[in-house]
Amino acid sequence: MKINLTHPNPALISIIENPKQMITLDANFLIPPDRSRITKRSIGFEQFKKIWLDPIFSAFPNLAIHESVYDELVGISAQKYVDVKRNSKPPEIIVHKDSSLTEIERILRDTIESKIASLTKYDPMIDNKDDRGEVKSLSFIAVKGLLYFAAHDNNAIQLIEKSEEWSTGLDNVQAIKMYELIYYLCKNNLGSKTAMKMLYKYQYYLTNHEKSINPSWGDFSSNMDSLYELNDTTLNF
Amino acid sequence: MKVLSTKKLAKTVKSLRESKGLTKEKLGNLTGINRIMIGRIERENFTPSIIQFEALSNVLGFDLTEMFMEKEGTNSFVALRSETLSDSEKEGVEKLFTMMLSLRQQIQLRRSFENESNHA
Repeated sequence: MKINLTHPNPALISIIENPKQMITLDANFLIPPDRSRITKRSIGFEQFKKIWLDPIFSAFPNLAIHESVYDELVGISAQKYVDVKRNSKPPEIIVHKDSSLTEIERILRDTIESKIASLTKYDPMIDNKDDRGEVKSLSFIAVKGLLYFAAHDNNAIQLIEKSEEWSTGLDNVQAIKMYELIYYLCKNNLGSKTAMKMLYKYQYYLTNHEKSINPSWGDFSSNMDSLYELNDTTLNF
Repeated sequence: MKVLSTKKLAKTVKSLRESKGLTKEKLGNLTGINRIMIGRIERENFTPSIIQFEALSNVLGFDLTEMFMEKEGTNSFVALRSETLSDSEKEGVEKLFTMMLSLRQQIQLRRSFENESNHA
């Protein structure tokens, strides 16, 4: 995935100013990335939990996932982790359920789902698994007027960022990318800098192609500093 | 399946706004929706959230349910799914779905990118 350092992301600025806002997560924020086709190095769940999940949950008190994303976690360690967070008091994550929608909300949800599904591998009539989580999550949060969707999926991010040009109905939604939260955790000393650097390299700087389009960790970090420096006073960076 | 008719919504919002003598900006102030978004609603290019939809209905005085229309839900893929298929046949059909839906996605994305460059 290509890193975009041309403009500051208003969603990240808003989250930095108020981390208590609700952020809905895509499944790829909860499941350890697997790039075993490219590298021998792998990230197990326990390591992912330590370097990524625990810091994310400690940084943001109002996290959410859609039930379709929860379904994607069935049978893997991430589900147990989410269950613990979900059952803690107060809950550290909530699960959006389509059954909670009113009739009118459901129709709006169906409208948005039909707009975005054709740009994904999901088809509502078949209700297949491909891209199901992102389509259901995005449709739900758009109807409810929830602002932030955090994802590490280029297509999901484009559906949001090109909402006007592609008429996806996601104009009210804003995307937050994994690299932006890696930077956030790093700058706020909420995660180990070494671990954040490793995760960045694993996700964005592994192949020759990625090395040709994305900045190295050092350049990424300094470019992000420049992009967000105006906000340093409000960010406590 | 019922869906929002952006055409009906556009027509309703524009005619009621004008009949009440409201500018887009004024309607925006009354509903909390940016005036640019009001313009996009009137151009059938914006799907409101439930809060925005209800705010428009309250301020302009229209019935939300009248903005919906029936959409045909036919899908040729569904016909391929049969309860009489064996497990291996079902697996094959699922693979076929994945391939067909990936192809559909690529075609749609290409169209979207092309439209975007034509309008740029």
